Amino acid sequence: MRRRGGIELATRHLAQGAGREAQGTGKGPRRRWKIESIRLVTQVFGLVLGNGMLIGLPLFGTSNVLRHIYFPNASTKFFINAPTYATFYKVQDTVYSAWNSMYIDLLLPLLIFVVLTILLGRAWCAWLCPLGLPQDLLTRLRRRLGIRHLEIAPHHADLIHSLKYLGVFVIVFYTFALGAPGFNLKAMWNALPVPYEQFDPNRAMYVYAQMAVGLAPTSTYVPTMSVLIALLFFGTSFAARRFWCHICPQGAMMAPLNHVALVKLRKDPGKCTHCRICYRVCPMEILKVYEERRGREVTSDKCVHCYHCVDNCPEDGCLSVEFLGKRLLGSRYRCQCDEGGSGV
Amino acid sequence: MTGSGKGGRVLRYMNAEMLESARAARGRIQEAAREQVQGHLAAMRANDRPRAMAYFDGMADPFGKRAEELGRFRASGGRVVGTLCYFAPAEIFAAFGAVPVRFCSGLYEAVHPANDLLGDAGLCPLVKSTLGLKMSGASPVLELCDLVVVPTPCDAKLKLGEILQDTVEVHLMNLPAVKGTEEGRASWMNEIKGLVRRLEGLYGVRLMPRMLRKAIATYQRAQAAWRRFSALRRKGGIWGRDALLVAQVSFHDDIARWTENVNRLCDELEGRPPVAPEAARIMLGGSPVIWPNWKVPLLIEESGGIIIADELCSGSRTMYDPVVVGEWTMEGMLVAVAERYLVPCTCPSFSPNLDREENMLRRMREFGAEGAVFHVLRGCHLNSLDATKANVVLRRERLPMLKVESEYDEGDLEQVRTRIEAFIEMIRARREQSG
Repeated sequence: MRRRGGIELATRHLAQGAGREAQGTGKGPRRRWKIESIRLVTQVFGLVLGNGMLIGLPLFGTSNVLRHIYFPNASTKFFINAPTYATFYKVQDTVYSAWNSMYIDLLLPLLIFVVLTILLGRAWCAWLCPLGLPQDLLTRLRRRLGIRHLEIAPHHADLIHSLKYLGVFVIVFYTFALGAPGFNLKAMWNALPVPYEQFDPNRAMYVYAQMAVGLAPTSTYVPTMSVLIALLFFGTSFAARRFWCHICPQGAMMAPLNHVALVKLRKDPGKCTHCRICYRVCPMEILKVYEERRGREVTSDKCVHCYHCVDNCPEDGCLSVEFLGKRLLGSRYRCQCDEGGSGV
Repeated sequence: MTGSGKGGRVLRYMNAEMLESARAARGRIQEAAREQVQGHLAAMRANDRPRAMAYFDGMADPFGKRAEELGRFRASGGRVVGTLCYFAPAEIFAAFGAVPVRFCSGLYEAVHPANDLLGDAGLCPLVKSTLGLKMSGASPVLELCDLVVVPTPCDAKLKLGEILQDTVEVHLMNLPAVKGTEEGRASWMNEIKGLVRRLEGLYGVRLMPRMLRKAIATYQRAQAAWRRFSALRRKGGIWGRDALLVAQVSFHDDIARWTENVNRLCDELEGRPPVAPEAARIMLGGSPVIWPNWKVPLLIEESGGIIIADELCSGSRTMYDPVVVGEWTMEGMLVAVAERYLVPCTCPSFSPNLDREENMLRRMREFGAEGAVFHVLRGCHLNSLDATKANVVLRRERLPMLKVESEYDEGDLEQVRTRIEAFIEMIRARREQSG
């Protein structure tokens, strides 16, 4: 009985619907936008303005306030005069240089990081990260070419995911050893002070882009390692969906907080038919959403909040996104044939 | 190896005399089918029903109008493929331009020739009837199939596929009994690819992505129409027996035309009041109820109930689950089709089968069903065992369930009627108690 209102609303809508195509869906007004499209717009916006990379640079680059905000995404200090830096950069920078001040510098950035992550979880990854958009674009290109993605079996995905924690540990331990007196690694201070700076594919990807549009001097140093990893990034992200997100150290810092984030992926197990579509469309190869039979909480530490599962779930209201208990988005059945069947 | 049958096939299990006597029964089977179909339709028309049902009535006779249409289609070079189960993926056949026709048979009269051959009176009547249909040649459509695709969910269908090879080209598909694992899923995906290769060889065409994409879109529209219909059924504007007929016309109909007519029926249902507002709301589950074996649906609805929902592979399950393609690449589409048939399916051939219990509960809650009738065809052990499990689960939720074991013949009619009447009486009493 509780859903009668919804159905009646649906019938009124359908009675007004002109085309037979629109009638096909049968369960109420279609959500005009796919979450996928909203996300793409946000990503482009974030890349251009939020991360201050291309257009935003001259506007924000000189602000003294903005440049001390450290974001959970955007992995390094890779832009000359970039307004925002990544927390991971700040962590390395402080840990190797601030042994004497007991890392006090790190408190505020980490607090901001924790607060932002608790607010939005890993939503940064799918919605704002400058490495997210290139991965999604490569996926679109691959689909256009008709090439199937490389499937990562769940047990392999777990293994790959643990690599990112190892990466964070090694990097932080190394920077700690650089700064701590007992290790005598002062010699490395000039050679490799903030290691991730050397590896980060962002650097090769965007500094070259900045040079091309004249935002950075052509003499800017780009580490060879970063170029190599960027090439690896292109290759793997073309073959597998969001491969970088599986191993990203910045993601590893956010992952443990993803469970407690205020943005939650919710499931109503009573509405689930266990059709496995959510697993099939998940770029992070998360089985939990499909397998859950009792609990409502299905946010996993791997989840980057792209909501492909919510977009594609064919059961009305089975999957939803909640913020502080308020429902923001919900799954709704609609016929793929109404979308022109491209699915891209 | 007793000689050669039709089309130069070697008769391994059947012999010429057996086929001869079966063919002699052809007229009788067709006559009985026509009588049964017309009888049921007359009973169904006696009550208030949507006008748009006329189309489905016209398509109801398995040897009638649609058979003639398919005959002409075949004569002009069209392709027809027979299937024997829910699991045979219609999208794949449609991609090759072939019309899939599902031959699960509900004709009692066709059971006899198969009984003579098999000598197993306890076997599932659905399978025997299908075999008898082929032996007697009573179904004109079955005679013009290029290939019959037989998935192997249960023992009976497994053996049916084997024996049928005497008379027709058969493609067996090994259905995994454990569907929840990566291994099970991968093996089913291989079966789907094997079927594609078989059809490519048969028709001398290579399957191209655009062919499959078009077929998937056609069936997605059918699935969308069925979902719309399902949601409207909840309001009770249509009898369950009519809804089941609508589902089963899709077994042989042109799918685009079927979709159009389901949408037309939906348009009409939107403004219709409930046909029986006081009737006990029943969910029908269990073994397939195949037209014209309409015994159980008719008995339920003649005894003061209405089948408000079902979880039959010959009913809602036929079209309910949509194919959702994650990536429109060849592989991506094949995976989407393969998983659509395998993963959400609640066939009792799977183990473990938690999905079925949950699905029954979900449907009963969603459709406000007050009780479930679990139909078990005699010899269908898998459904019989699932009925036992379902009973335990439903009782825990304080939902009554009646397990009805039945045959194709009319011998047990009165006995089944008594049980169903008592069950519906009990539901009514419960309703009064709870106010």
